[in-house]
Amino acid sequence: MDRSDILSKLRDIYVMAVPDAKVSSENITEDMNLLTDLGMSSINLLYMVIAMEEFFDIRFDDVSFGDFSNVGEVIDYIQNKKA
Amino acid sequence: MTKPGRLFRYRYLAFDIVKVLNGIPTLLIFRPKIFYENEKARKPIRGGGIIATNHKGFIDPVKIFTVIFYRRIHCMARKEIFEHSALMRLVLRMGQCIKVDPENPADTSYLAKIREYTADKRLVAIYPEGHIVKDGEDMLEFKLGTALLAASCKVPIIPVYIAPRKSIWNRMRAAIGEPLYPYSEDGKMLPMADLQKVMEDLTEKMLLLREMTK
Repeated sequence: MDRSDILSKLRDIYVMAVPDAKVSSENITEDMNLLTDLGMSSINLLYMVIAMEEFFDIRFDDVSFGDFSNVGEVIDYIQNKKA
Repeated sequence: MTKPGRLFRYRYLAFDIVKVLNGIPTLLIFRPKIFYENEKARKPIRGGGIIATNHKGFIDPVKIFTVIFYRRIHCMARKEIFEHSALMRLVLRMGQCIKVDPENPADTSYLAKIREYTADKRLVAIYPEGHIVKDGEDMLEFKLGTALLAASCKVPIIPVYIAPRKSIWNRMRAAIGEPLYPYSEDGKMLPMADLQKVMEDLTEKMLLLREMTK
């Protein structure tokens, strides 16, 4: 799975997780911060974790979501898990 | 993964000792009178699940044990309660409670624990209001986390309302509702808007259960 595929899937999950999103999912880029740029609350973050685990068939078991500063780092983590 | 469904396991020895020692006197003290929303709710609760219940005080975990006395139930507790005293920490550990840190929303380590327990066909009690609500006050808005956790574990939410006792001489009245399923029929994640609807249904159900206990 390449980075663009993962980013595309993350955009889909973002739409499901944040119904009243301030940022359009097409404008999400790898350098965006999850909390400040995407305006996600704790409940949105929890939804993202659960949905990503389901969609990518991985477990965020060895990290806290606070360890990721931007979308790119989440993609790195998913790629490492899928490798 | 341990085999689910066994009555006795060494890993739950401490938990079961606490439950039995605590359970017999509390059953006698509270003498719960239980109401059911319908016939589906009356069926014994089997398998893993999330118990969503109202929060009136620190004794609520004991009350929930008396309402569903035939199952192992684990409660979630805030980090501060674990840090309260050594005795409290010991009791919470023996009860295999799940530590949550609301100040650190990015820490989702509790999720793994809830998954482990529910996959092992155990029940986890959650207070969707998030805080203790004193007698006479209205129920607070239910937080979405309950639906999300149940969706993540693919287990139903079982609503349980426990009414405050008028005096120590009265029996404790509780009502159990029909389970809610916060995931699609094929077990897939629902969009957040649908989970919000599940929580609205849960709120309505809890109000109905509250009426039943009056």
